[in-house]
Amino acid sequence: MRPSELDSGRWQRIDRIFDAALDTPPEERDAFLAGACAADQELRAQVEALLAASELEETSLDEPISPLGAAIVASPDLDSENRQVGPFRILREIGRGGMGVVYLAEDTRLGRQVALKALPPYLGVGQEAKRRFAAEARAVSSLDHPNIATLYETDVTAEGQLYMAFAFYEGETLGARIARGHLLVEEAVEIASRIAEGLAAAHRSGIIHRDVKPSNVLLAESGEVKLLDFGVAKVAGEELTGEGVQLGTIAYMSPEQASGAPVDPRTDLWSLGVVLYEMISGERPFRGADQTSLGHSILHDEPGPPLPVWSEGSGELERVIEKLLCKAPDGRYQGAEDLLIDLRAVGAGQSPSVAIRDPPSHRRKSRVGRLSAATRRRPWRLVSLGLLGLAVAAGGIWLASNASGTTGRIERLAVLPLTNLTGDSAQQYYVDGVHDALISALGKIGRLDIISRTSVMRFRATNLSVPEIAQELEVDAVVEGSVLRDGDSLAITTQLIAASPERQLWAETYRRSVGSVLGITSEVARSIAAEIGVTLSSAEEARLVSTRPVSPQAYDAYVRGRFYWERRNRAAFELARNYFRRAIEIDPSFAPAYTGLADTYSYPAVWGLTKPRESYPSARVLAETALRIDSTVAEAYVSLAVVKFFYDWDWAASERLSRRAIALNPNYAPAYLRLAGSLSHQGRQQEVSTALDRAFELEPLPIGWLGRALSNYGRRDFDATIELAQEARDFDPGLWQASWLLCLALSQKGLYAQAIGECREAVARSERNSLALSGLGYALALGGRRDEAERLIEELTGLAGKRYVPASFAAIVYGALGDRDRAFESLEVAYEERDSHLLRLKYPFFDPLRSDPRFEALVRKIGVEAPVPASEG
Amino acid sequence: MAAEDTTELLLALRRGDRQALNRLMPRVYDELHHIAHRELARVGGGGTLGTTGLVHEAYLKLVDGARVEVEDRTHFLALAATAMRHIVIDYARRRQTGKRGGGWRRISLDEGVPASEERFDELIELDEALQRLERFDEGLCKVVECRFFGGMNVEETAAALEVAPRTVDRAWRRAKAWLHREIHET
Repeated sequence: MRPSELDSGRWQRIDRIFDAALDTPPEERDAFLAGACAADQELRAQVEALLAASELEETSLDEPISPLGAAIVASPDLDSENRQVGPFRILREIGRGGMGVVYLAEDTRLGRQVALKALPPYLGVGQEAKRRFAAEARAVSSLDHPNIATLYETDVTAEGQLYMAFAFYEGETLGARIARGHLLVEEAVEIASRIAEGLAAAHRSGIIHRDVKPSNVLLAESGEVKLLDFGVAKVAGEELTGEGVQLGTIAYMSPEQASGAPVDPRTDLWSLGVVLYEMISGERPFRGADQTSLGHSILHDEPGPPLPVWSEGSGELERVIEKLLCKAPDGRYQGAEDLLIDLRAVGAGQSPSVAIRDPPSHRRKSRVGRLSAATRRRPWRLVSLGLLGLAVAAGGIWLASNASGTTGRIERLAVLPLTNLTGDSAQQYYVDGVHDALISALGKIGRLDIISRTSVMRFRATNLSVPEIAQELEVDAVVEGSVLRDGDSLAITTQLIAASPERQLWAETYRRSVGSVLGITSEVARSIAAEIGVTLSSAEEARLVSTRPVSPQAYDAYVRGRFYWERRNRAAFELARNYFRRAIEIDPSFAPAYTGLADTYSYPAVWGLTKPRESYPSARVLAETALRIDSTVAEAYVSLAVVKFFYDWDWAASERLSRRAIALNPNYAPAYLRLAGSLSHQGRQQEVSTALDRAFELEPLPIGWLGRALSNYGRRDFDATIELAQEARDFDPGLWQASWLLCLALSQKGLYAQAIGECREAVARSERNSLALSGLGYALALGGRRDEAERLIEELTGLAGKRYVPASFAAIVYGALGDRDRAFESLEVAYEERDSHLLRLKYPFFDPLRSDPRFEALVRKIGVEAPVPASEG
Repeated sequence: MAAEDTTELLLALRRGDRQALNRLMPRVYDELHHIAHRELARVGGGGTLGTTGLVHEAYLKLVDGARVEVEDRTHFLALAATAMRHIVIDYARRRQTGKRGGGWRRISLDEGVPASEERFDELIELDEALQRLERFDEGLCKVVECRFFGGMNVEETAAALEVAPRTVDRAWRRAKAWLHREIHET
């Protein structure tokens, strides 16, 4: 019989014995089963059948799903045209959201068009969901009202696909209409009345909409107003419309809905209030940069008046909206009919002249409601941003600049992550890219120290105040700002805030086309320099001016690429590469994209993820191409220096290139790291410290800590290694390299058990990265656990069959096991492969091999001079 | 602000907010599609990223890694694995019904998905068996989702389900045996 036909107790009994038998060596199994199953022959037969099945090599689970799964997800079949669902033929997709896809489809029986809503397949899983769906659908299809889109039919296909076929109306959604500009008051009142009529009918039948919002209101070409998607929210589960899917949905939720409390028909009235507000003002009453602040705003904020105070006759409508937007349901209209009475009164007495007023965009900036939580924590800035709003309206003016005379010198600056005001997280990478560009632009000013991007990223959405951040980064002032990108137009606001005493020195807003983003960042840099009294040299001026116009799409792809590249893992490198390639396709003369692409070849090799001989040569060509296009890109020199350093083992050349990069951008931390490494191999230790100090000044956190920890390991200061690695790990538990370093240092101190524990953690967290595995093998071997160490070598060898594993990693473990011959065999291979890890030959993990003459020969051949401090990428 | 939202939902999930799960799923589901479509548009072929790549990129896209713990990441991967299961099985079923001419009938059958009809039948059979075994041991099925549908390795699965890697290893062997019996026993 099938296992599923067993009763649960029997199943568990079989499973327990089976589980234990799996652990029993094959030769003892008979005896074990005889004891465990006693006289129950059927039990024994079941267990034996399972044991036999567990030995099979070819079950359906053994054939990996990965490529097929990916192809299926990508399959156009999932949402393309020309499909048939039940009696409907899909014509095209007309909408898509958290609750499924809407298609224009044709009912093949009747020849009429329908709006077919296909709910996401996971909703159809489970009988309960299907029952709930059917019940709600029945109720909704019984609604017959001119202001409610008719639900023709619903069904669940044999495969569990839920669909709802609504009447299809030509027209546009209210959302699309508002996007073109706010409505006249009488239009808005008319539409709200029609919605209220539809709601009244539904509420009478006991049906709540739960998701009233402009995109669910259709303005049909016939002039009718149709409320769409009745019942969808309920069918899809309240959670989906809970405080979930999109800010665009949350923005219309009543306080009770947003806080997850039970709702009644009055929730729809609140939502209608929000819609009405938006119709006449063009903006929403409640705003927030994220779910939490938006939720907070809905629960606590009193919205500002939707109409300018000087509008005639605005009072009545505002009172209606105020009543709809009462936080307590008891304070609202108690039914849609009551609302209708008031709306009719407003409509009758309304003067059309009311709608003539200033464009919404001017008022938007001065609205306190859109400020972030961070601003609320620092109330004084409300005032300055309010002023900023006025400044924006006037086209951008200087603020408080006369106050700078009394400020201490500003020499060290941090540019905090910019706030994304687009309301779309998909734009985050773009905002981060602007941030990056701003740091680069300021970095070109030699007399200013600009903290590296990596070190400031942790202050995104921070709770810390400006003085606290400044103290942590040891800076004199910070630059803050926000980015609002809307299609081709771009608005960047920036302000410079002195840390002690905390005050705003300067603020400005730039409104340009997206293509001029680099020009804006240069302007910001020049303005800030002027503000704090730094005179630019003519060379600096030239560098700031030399930003050529760049295709917005190429820049877009470039910043996406950098976003992934910074994540420094295999999958992310791959993604980054695709974006850089796309940037180059769009604009083949955009030099930074070649640099980015170069780095996606070299850095994986530095981390032992890819073969040096297949990676660095590509990186070289790309970095050189970047320099041919634009010889002033500092990053390109560093990209080339990385190749010279890790692949050519040409320290003089990598030093020269690093210095060139520093001359172009004195604030690019990786340039100092590369310089330090190059100097170190040339035995110039004094100069190394200067370069390293500078790198750490610019990159104080946390990659800096790892680099320092590693160089201390190289210099055999194990206590310092441990301290720094622990700091790095406390800071970011995802940094498995910190555990690897702890393991190495602890091994050196003879604390093998602890060391092994650390490396096991590194192995687990790094998804069995070969570097972590070699560390574990090393610690196990030194700790006398030879068998386990040898098994790790086997794992490394096995891995090497699937992907590149630097041969030096096995050599380290062989060395610790005392197997010198095999260690040197591996090192020979490593040398042939130009394994980057060989640059660490002077590090303690190679100590067991050091006394061998073959080792000295290798050191001479490569020209490794001394421990390389902080040469990590 | 989907990234922030997803991150928050993930954190809410860790705090024990079960509703967060229902809100997360549609996003994971959508994001997998978006990524895969974009990939398709870019390279013109289906599976360059592989399931694991898709799942990992969905994570990168949706979650602000700086704000979550390692456990949240793996938790997310497990959710994505469940989403993958639904997507794959849903597709396989549609293919199967398409053959019979009912339901979501495909008119064009050439979509470059590299698998035989037998493989689809096998997957559906597997899913059905899995559904039946879920009654006995949900944990076993989670392991199958992560390992098989999500393409996760033992360590990742262990972290995602908050059990020891050894437990995953054994559960995987047990699951394979049970499923094989469930499918082949008549």
